[in-house]
Amino acid sequence: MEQFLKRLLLRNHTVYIVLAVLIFACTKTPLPPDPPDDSLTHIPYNPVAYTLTAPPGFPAMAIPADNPMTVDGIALGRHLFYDPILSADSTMGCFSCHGLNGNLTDNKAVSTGIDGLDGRRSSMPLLNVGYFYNGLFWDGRAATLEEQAHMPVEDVLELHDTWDNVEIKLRRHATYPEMFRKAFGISTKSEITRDLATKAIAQFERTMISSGKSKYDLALTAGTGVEFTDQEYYGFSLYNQLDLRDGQCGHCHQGFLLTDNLYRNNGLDAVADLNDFADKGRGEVTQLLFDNGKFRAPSLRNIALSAPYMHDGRFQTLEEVMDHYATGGHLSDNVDPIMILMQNDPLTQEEKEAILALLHTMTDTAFINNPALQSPF
Amino acid sequence: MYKYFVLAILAVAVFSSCKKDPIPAGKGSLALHFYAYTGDDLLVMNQLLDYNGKAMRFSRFNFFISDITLIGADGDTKILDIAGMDFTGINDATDAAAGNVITIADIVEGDYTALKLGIGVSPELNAKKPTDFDSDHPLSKAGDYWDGWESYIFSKIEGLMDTDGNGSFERGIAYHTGSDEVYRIKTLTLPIEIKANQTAELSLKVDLWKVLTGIDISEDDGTHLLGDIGLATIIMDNFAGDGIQAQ
Repeated sequence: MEQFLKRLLLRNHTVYIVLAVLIFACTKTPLPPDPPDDSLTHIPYNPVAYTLTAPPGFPAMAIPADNPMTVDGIALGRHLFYDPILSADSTMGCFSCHGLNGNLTDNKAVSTGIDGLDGRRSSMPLLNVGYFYNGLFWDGRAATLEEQAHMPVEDVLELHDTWDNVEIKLRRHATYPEMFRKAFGISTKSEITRDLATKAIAQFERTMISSGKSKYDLALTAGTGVEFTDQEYYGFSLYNQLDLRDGQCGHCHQGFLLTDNLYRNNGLDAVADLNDFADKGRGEVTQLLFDNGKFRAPSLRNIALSAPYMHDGRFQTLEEVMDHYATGGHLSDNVDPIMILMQNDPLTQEEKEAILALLHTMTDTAFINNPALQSPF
Repeated sequence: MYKYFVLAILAVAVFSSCKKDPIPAGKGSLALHFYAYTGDDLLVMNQLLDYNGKAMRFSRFNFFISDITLIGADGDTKILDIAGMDFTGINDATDAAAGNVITIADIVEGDYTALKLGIGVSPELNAKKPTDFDSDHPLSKAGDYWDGWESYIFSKIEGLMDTDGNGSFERGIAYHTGSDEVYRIKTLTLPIEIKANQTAELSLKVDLWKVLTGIDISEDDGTHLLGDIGLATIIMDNFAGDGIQAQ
């Protein structure tokens, strides 16, 4: 055997070629080397604090101490939000699933990533996202905006890149090193990290605040001269049970955000056992059986622009949503009791139309036309 | 002679300036441990319970307490404005045994004779809205406020019941209370000694069956109408009655 191999290797140069191909094919393609660690200190770092403005009736937003808002931080975050550099093939970014015209959602039942693969759930609108608490995503798996922004980059169903690769791309970019310097005062390109990138994106997202110019807001603000129509006010009365009938809406969608930020099973699916939910939602995060099938109650601001509806986009129109709630949905061991109350006393067609009319007053076109939130490219 | 006069003046000045200030009272803390029960059993969310032969589960239970005050020989000492008690996250026996605890510091040491609790949100605070508070304040959550009442929701009791025994929990239970009209005061007469640099412990039992006494939860539906707060009144009266007891 030994003599055979010796003769094979000495006489047959093709073997060497084959071996070389095999060796190189088996090794992983290395990431491009980091750029030279150039200093950035020649670029001035003069952070200018940015003060958020919010409409009447909105509280001050809680800003994390380790990520104060600055003009340059927001500018950087805005660029990163709209830049496909965050994806492996540079075709998609945050904007792809959270486009401004769709109330910062993509108006699809489920989002599609760079590989053409469908995600599990509908992209959530980002209007007022800086105010949300008690977890982000439909299942609340991200505690903060900064934490949330990490996830889509490496999600195989979304941007399908690695943060290691994204960091290198940002460091090698013609303009991002300077923007990171101005935003965070870093001294070298090697200090561009995923943490700083997600902080910048979070700063930009915190500026996504209602304009206060929806008919809903103006009608509820003294001195504007804007009033609900009779039908819209009837819907408002049902929504908040100002009179005899309780439309039950306000139990989950109240306050200035029009959500209570809690997780509920709103009767979408019929299951014999709580383990049978195809999408366990909140239960995936908490690992509690009675959290299976529960999803975050979304904000109803700009709801008319956020179709389709529910975590999987199963309802194409608000009318379908109202029909679902009018029937109370499906019973299960953890369905929200409010759903049963609705089922026991279904909304009439007139009542549904009144609530729909109210929901349309929550449309804030000034927000989606805000130039400060548009793509900078 | 003159020198003795001067010495006397100096002596008076020295001794009067050396008069000691009174020693400030020390301060301690009070830990209030709240435990939710149904009768003798610690309450666990979504645990199967028997209500007069009907299977049921509680899925939400929370309430506010206000103007927490210690009563002593010198009068009332308010030690905390507001706190939220939320048992909705009590998902197993360990959680139930731990209960909810609020520790109140900076209480002047002394022997107190009673603890007074406002059940609900005091009228002063109830005049405000969630947007008036910072995000970490107990009263900042939109879900705890009802615009139709212009009031906080003082308590929420929610759950499901199988009224006909077919294994399907077809009855929804949702009792919410609120408005100044149903704000109540609960006084627990018992000795509470606060010692400097120490934490006194007090355990309180909240019995949900007693809170719901006088209500048939298999039939009586709650409502959010201010003109129909009979059930809310019963619940809040019960909180202030036997619903909360010292253990």
